[in-house]
Amino acid sequence: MQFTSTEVIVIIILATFIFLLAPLFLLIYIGVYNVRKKKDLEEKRNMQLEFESELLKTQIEVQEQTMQTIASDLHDNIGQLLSLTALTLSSINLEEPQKLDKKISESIDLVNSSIKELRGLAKLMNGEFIVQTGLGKAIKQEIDRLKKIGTYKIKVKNELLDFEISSPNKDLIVLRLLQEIINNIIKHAQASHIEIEVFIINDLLNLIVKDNGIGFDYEAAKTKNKGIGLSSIHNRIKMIDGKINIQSKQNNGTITKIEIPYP
Amino acid sequence: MISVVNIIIELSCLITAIIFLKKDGSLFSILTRGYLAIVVIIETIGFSMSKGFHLNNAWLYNIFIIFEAAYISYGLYAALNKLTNKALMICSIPIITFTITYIIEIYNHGFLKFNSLTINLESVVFVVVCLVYFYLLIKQKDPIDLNTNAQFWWVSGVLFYYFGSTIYNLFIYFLYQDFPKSYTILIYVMLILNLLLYSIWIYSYICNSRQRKLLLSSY
Repeated sequence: MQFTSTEVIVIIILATFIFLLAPLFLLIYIGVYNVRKKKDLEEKRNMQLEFESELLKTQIEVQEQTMQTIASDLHDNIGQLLSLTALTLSSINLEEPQKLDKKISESIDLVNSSIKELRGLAKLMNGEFIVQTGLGKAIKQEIDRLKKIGTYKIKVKNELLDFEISSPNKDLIVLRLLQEIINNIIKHAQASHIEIEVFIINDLLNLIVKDNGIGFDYEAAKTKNKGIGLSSIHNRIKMIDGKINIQSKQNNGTITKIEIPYP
Repeated sequence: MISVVNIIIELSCLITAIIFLKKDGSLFSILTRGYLAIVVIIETIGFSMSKGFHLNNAWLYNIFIIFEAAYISYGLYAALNKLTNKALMICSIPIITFTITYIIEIYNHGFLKFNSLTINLESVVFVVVCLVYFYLLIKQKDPIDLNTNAQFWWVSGVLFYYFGSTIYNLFIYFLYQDFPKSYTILIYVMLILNLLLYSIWIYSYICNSRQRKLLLSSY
């Protein structure tokens, strides 16, 4: 096959064009890839910021919860005990020495009870640093708070008490999730029986909370997205790559199952 | 005429390099200015020898390709050195390839015939090293700022030039022997490649200056 000069020129021009296009495409590809990389990095940074701000919010909420418990404990328990002590002491009549012993001993008992309650409160105040002592203990304290209310029959299976591995950020979020679930039960469920299970299987932390309350329409609550803080629960679980499953029917109680990779 | 245009392009690149790299004391910047000055001098002498005195200038370009291979290899080394600790090993490949083929060619046909095989093979090796650079750049975790990354544009210029010159290298002897009338097209191809190479390099010097200003303003 014989080529003419013109054909050869056309071939050379075309070939040169193609040989220049190849590096051009490579540069365009690198440019596009670089832009995508920048975008990904930006997204990652934003996610990190969002996580940190949510964590801070969670921390504040846990603190608020602790302060609320302290306030109500001071008012309902210690305040009452001290008022009763004051009343007992003021009723002492020095002219009735036979009653003196009894009243003083009653006052001592009341003061001792107040001291015991105060110690309990001091422990609770430590709740802000609770995640440092371990999630199992933090959950126990939360359940103790619930027990104190005295309205509920509570069944607990807490396998995290002696668990030594921890994940501070996740612990704080799990504790707040439990607080939110318990608050929802107290506020809305009208339950008489609560069952709480916490355990770890295959590096997955399982938190199961069951109640025998009036239940609710989960799908409707999810779409309305208000009142019981479902969106905040979902957001926090998503942040730590967890899963949540809520089973609830009107007048048939609620089962909340949370699964979180742990630690 | 084409040769004159070529010299003007190279001279423009040299002037830009002097202006934009004057405050950059890195070895690469010093070598760049030196190399571009050599390019302009050799091209002017080569042009005068060939057009003015009708003399064989192949020996002159045989000397020039030593500078070319050394400068491009060092430039690639400087770029790769920021991405990998094997830069020296990678960039020793073009040096070794060049030295071996250069000696073989000189031994085979003497110094008065241009060492085309050396430059052809070197082009392929340079293209491969450029691709390695881009591969490592993509693999990097952090994105780069293309507006200030002088090295990226410098390597891009090298890739365009040596990849594009493959056509020139493939066709030159075939055309010279069988289609002498069509040979001129290759001269234009080379002119376009030179224009591309030096334009991209000029942009890289501008990026270098921007990079330095950014660095200074961040202190």
